[in-house]
Parts: sequence; structure tokens; C-alpha cells
Amino acid sequence: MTDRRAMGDLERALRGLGEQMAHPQAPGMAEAVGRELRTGSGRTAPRRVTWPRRRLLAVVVAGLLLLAGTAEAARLVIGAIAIDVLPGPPPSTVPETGPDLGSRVTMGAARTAVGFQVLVPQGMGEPDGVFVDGGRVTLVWRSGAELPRIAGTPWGLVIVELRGDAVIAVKEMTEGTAIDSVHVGSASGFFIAGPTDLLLAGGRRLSVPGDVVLWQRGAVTLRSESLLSKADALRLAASIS
Amino acid sequence: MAAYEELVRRHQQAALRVATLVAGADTAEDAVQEAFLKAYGALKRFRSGSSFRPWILKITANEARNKIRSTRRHSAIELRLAAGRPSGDAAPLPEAVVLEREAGEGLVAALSRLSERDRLVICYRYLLDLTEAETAEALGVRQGTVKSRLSRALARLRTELDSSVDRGETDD
Repeated sequence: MTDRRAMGDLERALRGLGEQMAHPQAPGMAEAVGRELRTGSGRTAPRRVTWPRRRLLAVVVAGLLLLAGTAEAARLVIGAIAIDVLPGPPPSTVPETGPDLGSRVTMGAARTAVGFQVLVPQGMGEPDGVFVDGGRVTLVWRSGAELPRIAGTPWGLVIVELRGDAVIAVKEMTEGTAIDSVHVGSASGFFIAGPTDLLLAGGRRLSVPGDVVLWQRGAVTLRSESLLSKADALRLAASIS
Repeated sequence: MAAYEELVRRHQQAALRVATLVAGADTAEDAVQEAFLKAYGALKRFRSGSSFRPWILKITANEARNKIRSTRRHSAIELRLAAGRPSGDAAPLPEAVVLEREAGEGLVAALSRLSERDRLVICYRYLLDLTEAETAEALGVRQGTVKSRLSRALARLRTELDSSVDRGETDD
């Protein structure tokens, strides 16, 4: 028997083996998967709470959710940003500064790069910097009399905008971080006070010293970071259009 | 959700075969269910226009590997034939059935002695009849790599089969 014929016989035998090889049949797997996805029965950790674009899914109760020494991990998702609540202190990281925000561009170039209308707050003037990194645009304003400086940066206000439902950035929150469920205009969101990290696609981790408002407007997820009071931060966020 | 359940139904048998080949029958069902759950969470990253099967099989193979690592299992995978019925439409002679089954058992035994890498490329191309492009996608390699990997895997399988025949002759 020539080698070629032998190999041809082997290939035929392998093709026939597909149906003959024993493997679990697992009837009902589709239903089991559907059930787990609907009920979130904890097979995949962490526990996940999502906020659909158009409707509020009231899983997190309104009011202050103080996370101190909690032993349970949880995840909240708003648009393209997930908030992971972790037990334990955050690792020490690099604060956001100019070079880590992406490539500096003009506002027009940013709109072209990210494919959506970039939103700006009213009454703040033009941003002092516009940066693009993948599908993310970051607008920054220098600190001044009415904008306290965010530690480790020259900025008083940092606004990040991302498009889409796929999570492309994760905020990790740990002990001593407070999270409020809030309204930004008519949209639902979160106000996060305290140290957090931002984990970006590609594994880069950035420290976020300021307080953060997170919300969605249409298909765009927005994150506004500053040291303004909660009321002022929410007023500024609501003015972004 | 109903649409996703239908996707699971359509692809679960292929996924169970892959998981069995990577991690064995005991772990396969768990690995596949985990894979479909994770795939649901990653659906938005799935490139529309691509074929779903190679994508879910890649996730399944990874999950099966994770299961082995988490149980610290290092023993060889045991593969078996399903409880027998002959292939083909015409009713074969009993002797042919026995011979065919013995050949099949020899083939799965030889397959189980191969490395996971060799088993997977053979599984994708022959047991699941994926195209070369689909196999490349499921393995996360270029098409050229599929050709060379498959050629070497078949050669090693042939060696395993020949050496098991030699052992059988010696035992006589």
C-alpha cells in the first residue's frame, strides 16, 4: 500500500470518526444556558447589573452604596464602561496625564476619528486639549479659580466619551469608595467619590484621583472627572450637549 | 435570548466534541456550557459577517483547557467510540461491523495519544469538517500554519497507528 493511499484511507477513516466518537449529548443545554443568562445564577462571576440604554433596570437602589471591606465582587455596567467593585485596596498606578490620554487632535478630527458627535459642557469654553485613543475621546480643561486641580494632573475637568455597548473600559472600585445612583438630566448614572482605577483595553491601568460622574446619552457613554461638589458636578454633566 | 438558545442548539454537538478531545468526556459538558455563557458576554466583540462556529469552538477549547488546569489534571485523555451502530446506509455484514469497530477503536486510541495541538487540528478538519480558513480561525493561526500543522499531526497519527499494530503482532 503506497503512502498516499494509506494517507487517503486515514483521512477517510477520520471523517467517519466524527459521528462515531463518544461525547456527552447534553440534552437541554440550550435551555440551561438560557436559564443561567436570564437569572444570572452566579455561574460566571462577578455578579453583573446592566443598565439598558432606554430603560432603567432598578437593581441598585437609589441612595448611597458604601463599599467598605465588602467581601463580594460585583459589576455594574453603563454603556461602554463597567464598574467592578473589588474587595481590597487598589494597586498603585499612574495618574492620567496628557501622554496617556491618547493622541492630541482638533475637535473636528476627534469627531471624524470616533464617528460620533463629541459633546461639550456649556459655559466652559473650548477645551484646552482634545485627545483620541481608539474609540475614546478625552476633553480636558486646565484647573483654575472655579476648577480645583485634580492631583497629579494639570487639569480641573476631564471628560471621556466612548461609543457602544461593548465594555471597553473598566473602573475598579475598592474600599473607601462611595457610589451614588444619580440622574444626569433625564439620564440615569452614577456618582463615584473616592479612589478608583480605570482599566483600559490592552491592559493599561490608570489611577483616577477625581470624583466621577458616569452616564449615557444615546449611544455614547460619558465620564466626567473633577473635584467639584457633587451638585456642581451633576449640574455641569447635565449641561453637556 | 431565544435566538441565542437556538445558536447553542446548532453548535453544541461540535463544541462537545472539541471539549471531549481537549479535556475528556467527564469535563466536556461543563466546559461547553461555560463557553456558551462566556461567548454570550462577548457577543458584541464578535465580528458580524464572520462564522460563529470557529469562534465558539475557539472559546470552547480555551474553556476545556482551563478546566484541566483548574483540576490539575495531567493524565492522558481517554477517547472512546459511541455504543455501536455501523455507519453507512446498507446493512453491513456482522464481520464487517466488528472489523470497522476495531479499526475505529484503534483510531480513537491513537488519537488520544497525540498532543492536544495535534488532536485539535485533526478534529477541526476531519471530525468537524471545517474548511481550512475556519480551522485557522478556530486555532487562531494563519491558513498556511493549518496545512503544515495538519500534515505533521497526520504523520504522527500514522506513526501511532503503525506502532499499535506492531504491538498487536508482537502480542500474538
